[in-house]
Amino acid sequence: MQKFIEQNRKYCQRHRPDLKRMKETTIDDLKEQVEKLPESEREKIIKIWSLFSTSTPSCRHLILEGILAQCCLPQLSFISNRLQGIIRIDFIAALPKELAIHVLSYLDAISLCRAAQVCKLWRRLADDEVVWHKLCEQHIDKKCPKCGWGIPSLLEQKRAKNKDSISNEIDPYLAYVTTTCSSTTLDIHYPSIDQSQPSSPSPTLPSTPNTPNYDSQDESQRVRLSDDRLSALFSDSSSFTCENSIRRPWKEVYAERQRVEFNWRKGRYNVKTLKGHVDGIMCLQFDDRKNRLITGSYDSTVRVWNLETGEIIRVLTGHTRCVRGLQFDHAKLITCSMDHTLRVWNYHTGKCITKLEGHTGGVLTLHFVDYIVASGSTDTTIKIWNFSSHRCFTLIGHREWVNKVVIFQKTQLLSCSDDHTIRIWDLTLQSCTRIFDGHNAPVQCIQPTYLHMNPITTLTTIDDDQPCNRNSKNDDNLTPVIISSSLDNVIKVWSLQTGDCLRTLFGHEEGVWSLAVDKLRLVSGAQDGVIKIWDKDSGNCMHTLIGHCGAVTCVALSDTKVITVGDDAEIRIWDFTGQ
Amino acid sequence: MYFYKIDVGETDQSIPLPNVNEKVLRKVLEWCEHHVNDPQPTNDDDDSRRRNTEIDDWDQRFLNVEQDMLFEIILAANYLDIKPLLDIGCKTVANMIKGKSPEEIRSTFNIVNDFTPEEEEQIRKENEWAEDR
Repeated sequence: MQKFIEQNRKYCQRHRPDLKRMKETTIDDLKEQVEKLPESEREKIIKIWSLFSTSTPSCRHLILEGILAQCCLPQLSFISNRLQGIIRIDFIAALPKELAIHVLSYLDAISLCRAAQVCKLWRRLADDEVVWHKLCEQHIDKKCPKCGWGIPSLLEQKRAKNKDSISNEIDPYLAYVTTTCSSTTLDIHYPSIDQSQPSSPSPTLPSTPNTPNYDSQDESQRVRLSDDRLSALFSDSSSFTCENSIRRPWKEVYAERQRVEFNWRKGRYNVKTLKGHVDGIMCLQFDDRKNRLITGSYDSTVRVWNLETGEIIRVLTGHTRCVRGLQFDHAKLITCSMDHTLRVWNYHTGKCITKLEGHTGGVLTLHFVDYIVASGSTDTTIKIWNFSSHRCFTLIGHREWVNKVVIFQKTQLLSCSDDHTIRIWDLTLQSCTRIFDGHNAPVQCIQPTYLHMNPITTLTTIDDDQPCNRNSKNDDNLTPVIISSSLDNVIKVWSLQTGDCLRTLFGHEEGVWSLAVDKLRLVSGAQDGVIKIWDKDSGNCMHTLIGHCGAVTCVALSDTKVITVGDDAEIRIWDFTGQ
Repeated sequence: MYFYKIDVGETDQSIPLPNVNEKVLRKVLEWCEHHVNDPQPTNDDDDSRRRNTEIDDWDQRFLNVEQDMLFEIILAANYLDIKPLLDIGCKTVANMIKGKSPEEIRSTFNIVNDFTPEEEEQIRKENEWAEDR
């Protein structure tokens, strides 16, 4: 490149032979015109030109000044008009390629697509992999701090398609986002909240022999937890390797994802209703990649669905009362029920592997990460079942039903209850470390997540009496928060660090039973059957989905879908993939 | 070839600067003098440089020049490895492209459309997805 520049150094930008400027008349064109003139005129003109061309730059200046001084107005405006066009430089063509790419990488998707339509050379550079790769990096699965746009990763679907078809095509994005490839959407990694106690690197709880709350004098329980078939199910899973791949152009990857994002923004979706349960449905989880949907219902059954076709693959029976909570990964499914038990299933075969007993009331919620299962019950307690140490302990503190538990940062637990509070527990200390008090009714659902607190787009409904501690003006700063929904009709956003309520989202007219979040969106479902999709960072309601004829008891969210279940025994799949 | 004398400590020494003409060099030095007290960029992180898309007022006025001067400034900043100046130069060009239709871009930069009507239609279709806001 250096050599190339030096070669062209002897030419000025305008007369570089490698750059065609077809719009302009060249000296050769003019010579043709001159040929038509009488001999004397011709010689005069050619003489002027050749004198000019052999002059030094400073003489040229003087000559031009002289010509300008002699020009009348019509001639000056002729010069002025001619200059408008020819003084311009095609930067993209004239700059060395790496600098042209540098310029183009400051453009957004629209401008790049328009630049590609300018001419052949611009097209080649504006479609360049480097430029689109940068754009993908800035936008996929996160919000770009520059333009406030984020587009979904669609990672799971891509992988699914790879597995299902024999096609070798694999998403090039996989190549470097392996960090986001955890098997559950709930596996969020936070910075440690308590600075004095950096989070334990150990994936499991330390099993101190004199654990105070353990020793539930239940020997049978210990036997069950150490079942061999179980250990297989609890083996470490989530890592996957990326095979050799045919790369798709980054522009295509970006375009595909942006189409889906437009659908989300404009509320373009297709709805599919699945029927099968004979009573209200209380819980669900789905996985685009595995093409599975699992639901649990008041009819005491758990149903495994083919997500794409909507067919029931299997009905799991065993619970004797309403199934209130469930979670599955690649190997196992755990369910909990009002019959006081949790069950661990191999959902590929339909076999119930074991039953966890210990709660003295209905089990309303469960969450597992690695070897630890947490469960919350109508008996107001939370139990932590450790499949590595084969121990179980109980957390006591809530005064009413525990509606939702979420393990995060491996050693922290979030819970919410009918007693209107949200609690954070430290699982190593086995004690409650913070209580969030602010809802005026039972808190039904909680989710830990990060928020992009951008001062321009937020501030819609920040509580006046609670000065929020947005200590940093840095836009890149992601604030760890808890989002909660309650039967008091509102959704609240709490700072995990300070415990302050940062924001209250109004919009639902009845109690909010369930919510789900990802990096871009928040979805909530309410007693009156209304589902709302919110922009997570701004807290603005983007869409309201109506269709259920009863309370929406559970909602789930992926890059392309919202799935909701309700008291009306129906499953609704709101799919935003469509073209 | 131009030489520019700068104080490099103990001895005065001439540094040869081929590829940069005097007028452009003066302009580049004017920029450097204005930004002499700017904090050093912490690292060469490409990403953080890219995220900052703003051009401050002084720089905007500074780069409000004829296209040929802007062009020379970009080349000089690249040659002299003055990254912040290179960045704002490239951003200025990018801002000249942003928000324009293909035809407007052509007229801004005096570019000839070398597509056949069929090609043009096909490429327009290929890029249609971005317009769907």
